[in-house]
Amino acid sequence: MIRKELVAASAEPVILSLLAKGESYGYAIIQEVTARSEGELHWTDGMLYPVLHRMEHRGLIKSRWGESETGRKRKYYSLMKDGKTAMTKHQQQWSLVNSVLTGLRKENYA
Amino acid sequence: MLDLRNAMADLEKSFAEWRWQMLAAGIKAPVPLEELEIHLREDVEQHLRFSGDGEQAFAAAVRRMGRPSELKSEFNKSSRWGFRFWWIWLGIGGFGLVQTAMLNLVGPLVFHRHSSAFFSAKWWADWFPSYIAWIALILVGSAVGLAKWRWERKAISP
Repeated sequence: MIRKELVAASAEPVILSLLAKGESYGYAIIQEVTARSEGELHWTDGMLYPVLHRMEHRGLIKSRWGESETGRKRKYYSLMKDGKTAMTKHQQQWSLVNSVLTGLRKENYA
Repeated sequence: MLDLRNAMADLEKSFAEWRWQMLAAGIKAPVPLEELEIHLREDVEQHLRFSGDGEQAFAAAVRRMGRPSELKSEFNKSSRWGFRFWWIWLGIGGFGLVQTAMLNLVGPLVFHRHSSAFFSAKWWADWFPSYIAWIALILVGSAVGLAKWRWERKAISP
């Protein structure tokens, strides 16, 4: 299981990257994160919403009320222009961290 | 075959109790509460399809949702209240300061009274405490607003 600090730090880039594929809603976001991380990235379901609301306040994403296929009310989130810019920055920074760690690991095992 | 609609209807009392717990914890704004409930209902429904046990599916979904007090604390962080507080406080302080200056400068002319020159003994006695009070109000309000804003900016762990 990934540590809480890392979960908090990765929440925003993960959400932005998921929404870059198209609009989505809270439950689907949680399901996709769980599936993609094979359960290692553990999010408490309810805690996702304060993150989404704050990202919306900051103008990174926007929301709209819609309906599911079964007619249930749903709030859909989608990426805004500032969100795309923020996502690119996040991805560059995480790639840098990843390349540093990968380089060091290769040296350690060389 | 499980009748999903009936199974969900049987859980209405449990949903009402959960909603009451959320309200008691302070999650009173309609949007987050409605959004959380929609999520809870979807989660319960999905797990009912596999387990068939309504009470068990509900209990597991509530656990996954998180504790109400923790949720309230995280929603507070996303409220932007610190930023608003700062502007409101700055508005009140600024208005008071401008009003004091207007009375200080224009008042004597309008009412044809003895004008108190800046920094004279009379000015210090009459006006200086008012200026100090408004400036102190702005500074204290800004400090509180900034502290709250910084707290709100802390990363939220979902």
